[in-house]
Amino acid sequence: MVIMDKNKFNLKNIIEYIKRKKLYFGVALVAVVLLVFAFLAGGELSSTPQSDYSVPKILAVSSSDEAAQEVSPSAVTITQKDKESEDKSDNTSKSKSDEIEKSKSEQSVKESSTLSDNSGSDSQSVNTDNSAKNNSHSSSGVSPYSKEYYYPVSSDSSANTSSESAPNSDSNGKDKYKTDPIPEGKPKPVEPQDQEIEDNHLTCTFSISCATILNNLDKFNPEKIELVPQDGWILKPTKVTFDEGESVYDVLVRVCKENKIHMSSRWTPIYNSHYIEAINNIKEFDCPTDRFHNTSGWRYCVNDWYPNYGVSRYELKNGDVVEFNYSCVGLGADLGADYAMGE
Amino acid sequence: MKDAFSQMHPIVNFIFFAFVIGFSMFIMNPACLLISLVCALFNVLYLNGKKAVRLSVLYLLPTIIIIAIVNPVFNHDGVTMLAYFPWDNPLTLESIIYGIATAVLLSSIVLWFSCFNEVMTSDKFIYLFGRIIPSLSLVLSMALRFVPGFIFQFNVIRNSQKCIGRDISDGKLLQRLKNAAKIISIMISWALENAIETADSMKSRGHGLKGRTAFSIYRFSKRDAAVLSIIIISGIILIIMSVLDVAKFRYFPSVKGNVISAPAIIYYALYFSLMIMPLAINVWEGIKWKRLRSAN
Repeated sequence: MVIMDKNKFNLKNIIEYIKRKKLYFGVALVAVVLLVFAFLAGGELSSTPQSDYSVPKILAVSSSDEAAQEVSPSAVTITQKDKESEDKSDNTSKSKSDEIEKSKSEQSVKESSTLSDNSGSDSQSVNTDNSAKNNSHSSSGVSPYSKEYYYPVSSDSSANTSSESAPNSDSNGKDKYKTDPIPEGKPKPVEPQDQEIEDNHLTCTFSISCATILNNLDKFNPEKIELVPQDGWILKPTKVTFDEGESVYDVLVRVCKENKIHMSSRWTPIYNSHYIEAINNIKEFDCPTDRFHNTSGWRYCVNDWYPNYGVSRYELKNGDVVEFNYSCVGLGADLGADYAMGE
Repeated sequence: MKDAFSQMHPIVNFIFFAFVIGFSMFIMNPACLLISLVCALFNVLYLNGKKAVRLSVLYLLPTIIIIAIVNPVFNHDGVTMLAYFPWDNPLTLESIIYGIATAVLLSSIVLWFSCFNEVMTSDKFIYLFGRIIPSLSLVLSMALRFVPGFIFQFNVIRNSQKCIGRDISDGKLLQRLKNAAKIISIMISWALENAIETADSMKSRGHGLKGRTAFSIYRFSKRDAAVLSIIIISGIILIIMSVLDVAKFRYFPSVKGNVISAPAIIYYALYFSLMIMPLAINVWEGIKWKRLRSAN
């Protein structure tokens, strides 16, 4: 310790020490900078586990007859487990659909909600006149998470193609950001890197709602119950102006800043989009309805279609109706979302 | 002179540190964090003196500052938004407060562990766990002994090399590298030789034979029993009070908690009296010693 004894720890000596060990400090500084950069640019790791859990995909597989034999036993057990917990999702989707009907009257949503009502065995007695109309869709013995349940909006042909390619097409049929084929008639994603914003003011309707939580208040994070509004609206449908070429994410950021609503997001490079972690401090995973798969989180919907790609890739058009809804069950199943991507 | 708390029975020391470090890790109430930090600081100062000042100023202060800065960058929870980052996420007051709280928690645990190292020497450790986990405690104490021994021997070798002008700081780069390699080579041959010598020595003294006991002069006195019972009772009361959320405090989504209420103040008092115990014993012994001397 002879060498160490000379060092009195005043500022002058510390500076001298740093000067002497320039190399080490340089390396350490570079390492710290790299780490910070990696943290900021990263986010891949934290998003992958959820994509592995894309429940609906497994369930869609088990619903089609040919593929059912190839499915591993574990996947089948998951289906059965979810069948039991499916009653809850019926309730949530019904009340949610009521809300939606209040605000706007699109036929496709009604169809999806009634379909989800139908699929439950118990709920048939509860149903009103809609059930008779749609009985032809849900054949007996089909699991509640049937093809129709997850692809209610898409036309028959596209539903068939996607269900055929779904079982063993992890590599084919997807674009380079892991997005499955987009249903016909729906806008293609526009990469945020190719975004061209023109100074041309357009308007859209924007709303943020967490109404599904109201049905699951007992399971919701007890510390945050005070943050859930009585009627579920965090932002009631409002007209918002935006420039042509802006994505849903850009508008969300602006709307939240203007209305002083808390929002936090994370850039996920594999999906080339931002992921909305929390709005109004209601975070992903805050409402665990299922003991084994906690799938609660935010989903967005434009013109009553839940896109299968991220918010930053959806380019808004004039008059679009954008909704952000909190989903408690099945990655959007309780919202009547047709297709849950593992964002 | 060894302090009075270190001279107590090892089981008292060990249970004290188990409780204190456990509470410091899991109780996030700001008052408790402050109590823990202050008590740990006083304790370290009493035990280590100047060394403790160096540790806290040179390492812990920067840690607190870095964590308090870094936490809000990655954590965007919290109701009170102060500003926005360039990547559109909010900077929240709650995340800053939480960052400071975690930093205080971390540094108080570091301080408590430096007290632990000072008080719980390896012979005490072996005495406590020699029967239950004999081979593990032996390996542990050898490993703990190895690092300081290695550093000591390194300095011895380095100084002797310096005497003949072959230190790492002598000569040009190539010469320096050669000297460093030489020192490391000496170091390694010493370490190997030392290991063999230790093994031979232990074997010749009959290590591992049946029916052997370890020598120890620890006596469980009445004072030890009293202190131990106080520690255990107050620890259990604190655990029960924590489970009952007497001084509940949360940081997210908004900073809220009943910090000041009658049961909470009792809780803090108990917490403080548990944490300050070694220092109180030492000071009590010091006063007693002086009084006895002045009486003569």
